[in-house]
Formats: sequence, structure tokens, C-alpha cells
Amino acid sequence: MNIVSYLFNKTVIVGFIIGILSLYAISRQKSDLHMLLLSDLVECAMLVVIAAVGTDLAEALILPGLVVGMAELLAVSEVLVLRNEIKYKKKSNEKSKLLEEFIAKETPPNINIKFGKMEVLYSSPKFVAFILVVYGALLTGFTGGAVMASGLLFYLLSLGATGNGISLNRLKNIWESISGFSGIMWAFWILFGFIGFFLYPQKYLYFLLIAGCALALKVGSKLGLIGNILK
Amino acid sequence: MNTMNLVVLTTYIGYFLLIIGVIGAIFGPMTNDPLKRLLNIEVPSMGVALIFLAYNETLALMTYIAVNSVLMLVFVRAIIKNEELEA
Repeated sequence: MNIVSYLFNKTVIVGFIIGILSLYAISRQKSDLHMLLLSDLVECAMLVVIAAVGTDLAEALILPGLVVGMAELLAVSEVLVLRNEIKYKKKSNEKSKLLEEFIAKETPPNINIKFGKMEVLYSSPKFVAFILVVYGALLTGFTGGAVMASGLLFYLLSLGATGNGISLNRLKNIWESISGFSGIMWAFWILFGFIGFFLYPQKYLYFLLIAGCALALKVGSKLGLIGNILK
Repeated sequence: MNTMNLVVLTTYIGYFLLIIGVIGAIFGPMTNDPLKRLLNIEVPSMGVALIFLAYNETLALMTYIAVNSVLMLVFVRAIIKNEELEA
């Protein structure tokens, strides 16, 4: 008997158990933040049920599901934060930026350490980010884009934490240029990749490579923008 | 046959982590604190990763790990912001 069909029933049952348990927990919950956290569990259940099919089609369904789920959770958490800000509006006049919390505030007064001068804080984020970006470029596609973006995010967040922020004007320039780059890559992916498949089916390999690389660059640059919003 | 046993074992460990982790994240100790609940949720996501591994879905596994690391930032931000505003 095939291993996938042997495990199919069990995996689906486990997925449904998780889904029902977490949906029940959401229904009993009163705090919004806890609901947001528990909806991550529902996503786990969905992934397990899809993975039970065990074919390439299942994998192709999981990839956009992951990306869409991340975008959904990001949007819902933003809405929650904004609503709480309006609700508890006491004295906070300044508008908060996305991912502002990861910037180091002023150093504590008793400790006399200059974080900007520590060698490890300078060199190691570059190294880790470089490895992630190169590995993402090798992977290509959605996966490569996500890996690349986590490298970029890590680098930009660590840049903010060591206090070497970028000025607002330069940030605007970078923002515009990266989103323009991402749009061009989108055009490459759709126009040259997909239309090429239909026009020249004999040379599908070249168009497949163009589509994969352009998709990697597009997802990587778009997700990397999240880290760029901090100062 | 030996590799089949390994695959089945990986899948069962995945099931175990999923069910125990979900019960822990829902009814477990100190789940009133959102940060501790977030840490509990990492256990079932490890189970999902093991199930992807058993089904030989490499791309899905890689993407799941990369997306999870971004999601962690998003959730931690929401939790910190909430604490700041409610205090």
C-alpha cells in the first residue's frame, strides 16, 4: 500500500481535531489579541489538511496559502493596534511607525557600553543577511523570495537596533525605488514568463527560469519593504 | 522498508507535537499572558514542519520556516504595542 494513502486518514483526522479545538478556543475568547494568536493555530490545521494529499498540487496550494496567511495576519494586527490606539487615546500624539519597537531606545544610564562600537553587532548581521540573500537567490520562486526577504528584514532591523538609522529623505528615495523595482519584476514574471509559455512552448525552459527569478526578486523586494519603514 | 518506518515515525511525532501543542496553547499554564501563548504556539508549528518533512514537501517546508520568522516579528510587535497602550 502506498505510504501517502496509508497516512491520509490519520493526517486529515489530526488536522480536523486541531481545527475544531482552536475554533472552539476562539469562540470562548474575549480578548482580541488572543483571538489573533489563536487564528495562527487554525492556519496550522489548514496546512496539515492540505499537506495530507501529498502531491505536487498540494505543495503548489500551500505556497500561496502561506504568503496570503502572513499578509492577512499582518493586516489584522495593524487594524487591532490602530483600534487600541484610538480607544486608549490619552496622551500619545505622535504617530507610531511600523516595527518601531525594534529600534533601541536610549541606553540605560548605569551601563557604560557603546553598542555602536561593538564589532560583533556590525559584522554578524551583514554576514547572516548575506547568507540568507544568496541562498534565496539560489532557491528562486516564492520560497527564494521569502528567504531573501527574511535576510533583508534581519539586516534592516539590526541596522535600526545599532542606531545607524537612515534619514527620512533617503528612506523615501529607497522606498520608491524598491517598489518600482518590484513592479518591473512583476512585469517580467507575468509578461515574459507566462506569455512566453504560450507563445513559444518549445523554449519553455528559458521562460521558466525568467519567471522563477523575477518572482523571487519581486517577493523579496516587496517583503523587504516591511523592514524599511523603521527609521 | 526501513526508510518507510522513518517516515511513519516522523509523521507520528508530528501528530503528537501538533495535538499536545494545540492543547497546551489553548488550555495550558499561564496562557493569560499573550507572549507565553505565542511561545506555546511555536510547538504545533514545529509539528507542521515535521509533517511537511514526512510528506517530502521541501519547498513548502522552506517557505513555512521563512514566513514563520516574519510572523514572529509581527506578533511580537502587536503584543508590545498592546501592553504599552493598556499600561
